[in-house]
Amino acid sequence: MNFEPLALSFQVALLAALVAGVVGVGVGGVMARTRFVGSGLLDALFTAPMVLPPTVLGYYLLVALGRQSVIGQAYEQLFGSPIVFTRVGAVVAASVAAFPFVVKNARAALEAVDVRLIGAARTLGASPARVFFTVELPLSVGGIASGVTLGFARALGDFGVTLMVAGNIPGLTRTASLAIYDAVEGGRDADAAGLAAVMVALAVGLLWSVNRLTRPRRHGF
Amino acid sequence: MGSELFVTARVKGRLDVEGLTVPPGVTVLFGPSGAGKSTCLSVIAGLLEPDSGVVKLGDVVLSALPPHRRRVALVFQSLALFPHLDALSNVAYGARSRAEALRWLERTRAAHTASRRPAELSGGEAQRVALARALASEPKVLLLDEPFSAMDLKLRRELGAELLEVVRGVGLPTVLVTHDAEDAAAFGDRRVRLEAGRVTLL
Repeated sequence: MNFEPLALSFQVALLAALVAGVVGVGVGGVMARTRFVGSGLLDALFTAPMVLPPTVLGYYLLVALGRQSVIGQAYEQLFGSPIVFTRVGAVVAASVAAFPFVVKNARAALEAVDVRLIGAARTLGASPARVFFTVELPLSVGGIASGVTLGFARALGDFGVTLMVAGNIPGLTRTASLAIYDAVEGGRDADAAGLAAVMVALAVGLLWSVNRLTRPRRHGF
Repeated sequence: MGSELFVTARVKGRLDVEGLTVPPGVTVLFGPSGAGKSTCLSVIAGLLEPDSGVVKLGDVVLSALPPHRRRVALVFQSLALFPHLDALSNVAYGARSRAEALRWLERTRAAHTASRRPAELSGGEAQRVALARALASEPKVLLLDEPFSAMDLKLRRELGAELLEVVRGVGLPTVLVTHDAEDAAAFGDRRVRLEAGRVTLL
């Protein structure tokens, strides 16, 4: 069995979880603390990648990041290679797929922090940024970690968005899910079965760890 | 000698305070539940924006500052100790140093709790830690919201008297909120009644 697609999936999913984690916690934090006109609509927009067909997501990412787009051209000017049909494209695709899981969980966890703890911290002289990093974030770490883990699992398994944005290039963007499709198409059943089994084991293991992270526990640890 | 706190604030349907003054020492603000006592403290601390009004300390307009620059420490009824930090780290949160924090824990006679998390403290110990945390941030005004209400009467009076000695020793303008008229008589140098949002000096 060829393990390269698995290693690639891991690499892409880790980077995607990192990107989605940082951006998602930031966005979730803002949405947990502020109400503004259109915040409900924005929430729906951020959550949409969970339910949209991956091809739709991939289509819009191609429009936004393709070689003819403003972002795509600026990126190509700066770094000398396009975003789409590269490994960067695969990471972007997986990040977008992972993002809603992080935002949803981070927001819920941050909203659950007692506002009196935040008020107490402010009256003790802490700026909003310090309160975020020393009170809100530590108290939401379980929920955020489970969001990032779910995002990682989603990124690891992505098929459609990656195919649309990054293609199916052996050794470059052919992740495990794409390799399974290829193996079935090519009649290499043993390869497909092996990769599929590994993916199932990973998914179950990750979900199990999420359950552990979100298991209610008494304060004081 | 510290400056005097001056409060005029209106929060629609909840609070209407006109010219409340708090000199250094303990002023007890008492009145029935729902009279706006906690709302008044939140406005002074800057955690609630009043519809109109001004909060001043001497000549400094506190209401123009965000809560973390007001130097107004608030001890919540729930105490609001940080559950993920031990007692010493709670006190050190707003303090100059951990050594300074430990000195405040000693002054409130809670030094033995230093390495314990809030969940591992008794009601009285948590009370001491919360007061130490507020004072360690070197505030210019101290606000106490029903500070001893979680305890039974005897302990409340004893601990209240002991901790208020510490507070008096610091000499800050202090507002202590209670709904209990007897507590008000026992704890205050000066008593102000708040009823239906209006203040009367007794």
